[in-house]
Amino acid sequence: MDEQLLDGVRQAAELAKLDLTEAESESLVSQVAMMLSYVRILDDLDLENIEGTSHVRTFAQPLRDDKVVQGMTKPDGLRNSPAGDEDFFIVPGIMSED
Amino acid sequence: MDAIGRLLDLRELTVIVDEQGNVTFSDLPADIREVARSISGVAMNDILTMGAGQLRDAVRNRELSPVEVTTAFLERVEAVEPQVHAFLHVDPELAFDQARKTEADVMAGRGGVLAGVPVAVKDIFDTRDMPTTAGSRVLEGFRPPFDATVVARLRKAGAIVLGKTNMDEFAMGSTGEHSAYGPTRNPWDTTMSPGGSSSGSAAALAALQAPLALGTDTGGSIRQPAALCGVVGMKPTYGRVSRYGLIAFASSLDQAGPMARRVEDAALLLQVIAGRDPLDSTSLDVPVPDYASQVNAGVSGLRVGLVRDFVEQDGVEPDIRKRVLETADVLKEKGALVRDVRLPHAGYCIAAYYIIATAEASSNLARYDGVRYGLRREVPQGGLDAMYRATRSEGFGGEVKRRVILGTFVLSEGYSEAYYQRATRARTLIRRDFERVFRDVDVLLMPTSPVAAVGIGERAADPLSEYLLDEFTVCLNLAGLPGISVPVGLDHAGHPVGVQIAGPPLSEVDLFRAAKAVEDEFSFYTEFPDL
Repeated sequence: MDEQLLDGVRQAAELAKLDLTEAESESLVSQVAMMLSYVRILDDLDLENIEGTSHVRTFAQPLRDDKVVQGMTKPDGLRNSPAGDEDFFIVPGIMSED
Repeated sequence: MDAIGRLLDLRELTVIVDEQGNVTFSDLPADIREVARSISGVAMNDILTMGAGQLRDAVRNRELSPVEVTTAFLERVEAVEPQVHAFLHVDPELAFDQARKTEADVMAGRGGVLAGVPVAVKDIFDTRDMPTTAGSRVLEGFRPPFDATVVARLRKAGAIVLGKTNMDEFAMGSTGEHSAYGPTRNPWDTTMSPGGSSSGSAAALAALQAPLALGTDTGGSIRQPAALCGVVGMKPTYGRVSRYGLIAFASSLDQAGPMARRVEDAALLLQVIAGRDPLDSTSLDVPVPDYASQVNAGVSGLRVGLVRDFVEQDGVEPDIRKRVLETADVLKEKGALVRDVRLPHAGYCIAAYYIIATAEASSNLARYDGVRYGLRREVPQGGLDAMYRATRSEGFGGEVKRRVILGTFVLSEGYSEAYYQRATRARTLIRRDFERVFRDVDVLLMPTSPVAAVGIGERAADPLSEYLLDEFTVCLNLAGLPGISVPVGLDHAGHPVGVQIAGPPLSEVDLFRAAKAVEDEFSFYTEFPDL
């Protein structure tokens, strides 16, 4: 299989913040590469001057009345956090100590 | 009566689901269990096989109480779950709470459109009082602080939410096997997959565990399992039903829809869940027709296009081809005008779909990082980034990882033009194919799935072979169009076969009419699997 493609797939796993085990690295990477080869059938199409469809609906952004409404409360928003207190989500340090 | 009185007051009821998916109601006292059974065998079976509309009418007329109905279905769930594993969470306590509330409403003359009708809800919908996992370890223990709009509408209509149904993780899969909590089995043949990703919802209906179910459909996840389980499933027009509280897979394709054993029940359920929602800016601000009253309008004069590209394709099983052609004849006999149509770009749907769906998924699933909800894995001496990686790597299953990686790749610098941008242009051509055929016909007829049954584990080694199960359903999602799968009988091996009817935007009434005409001919809802 195309080594450059496999490298690209490994890089995508990095960007997606997925650490693959050795076994996964072998099967997942080659399966993704296979899909990438399959979807190249789109190369048969003449897509020159065709505008893309990223969404089937084209609509003006709907606006609601400028009135204060109750959204999610803070306790509700925080209650599923794996680590947090009454006001914040708590996460491990962002900067390393050295 | 004493025991029924106590049943009404029951507060401390818990359900235990063991590793094999066996369900027991631990604290259900023996005498209450006895009363539940004494709702005689015949009557119990009648309740289980009644349509949702019939149940609602019986409840409104006070022939059945919501508590009786709920008891009958919970007993059925308990009896067949070891074989089917359609549910991830069953909640008798909440179900009885809602049943009692509905009973009070009915007594006060305020029975809603679904008064006393149990509904099985796919675990992708947020439910305020119940765990919601989307079939993933990464959401284990998550209890949403709100109800999805569709769930809120169900409750308001008097429906009884029985529990949450099993599914492929984040709706990514076509067999139900990608659930982190074990596969659901097809009630018609428990060695077979029920299809997916709404595997539990479809199986629960076929196994008579519920008369109605909610599903979601990003590339066929309502219609394909409906076909494989011999039930009715509709993906409405994109925007017809609110997506608020629906855990996102691919936002430009996801749509919630009704599943039922009968067409008119699916129409009734859509009636309740459809409509504009201020909480979903993509929901359509278009009045909701009275679907249920129009299902019997017949097909006289309806112009039906038979999609030759799909019917004649090599991968379609002969029994399925035969059934679709028979259905075309039935519609013709009933007064429809049937002609052949072509969709020249149909062969590109799977490729375009898997690029677009995975691209959107890679972005939507970035939120699972261990910070705000669900699983968190920290790494000793590791920082924030290490936590993200450990959480995602442990929390996601193989299929989700495959798709997130694929989606990240097709959006990444240097590749997005060749992959993602090309796919969106192909999507435009696919849309135009439909716009063209709908100038000449009102609805399209085609197979729902190329095969009637898939063995559990059969396609696990080759993802593309699983993806191809969706080749007749994904095109509608790409174009935002509605489609319905309706069962037409069994194949030579005893597995259900469904046909798919599709239409232009907001043609749900026509789809229900055509599906009901097909159902009237084959009456598949009178057949049940042996469990």
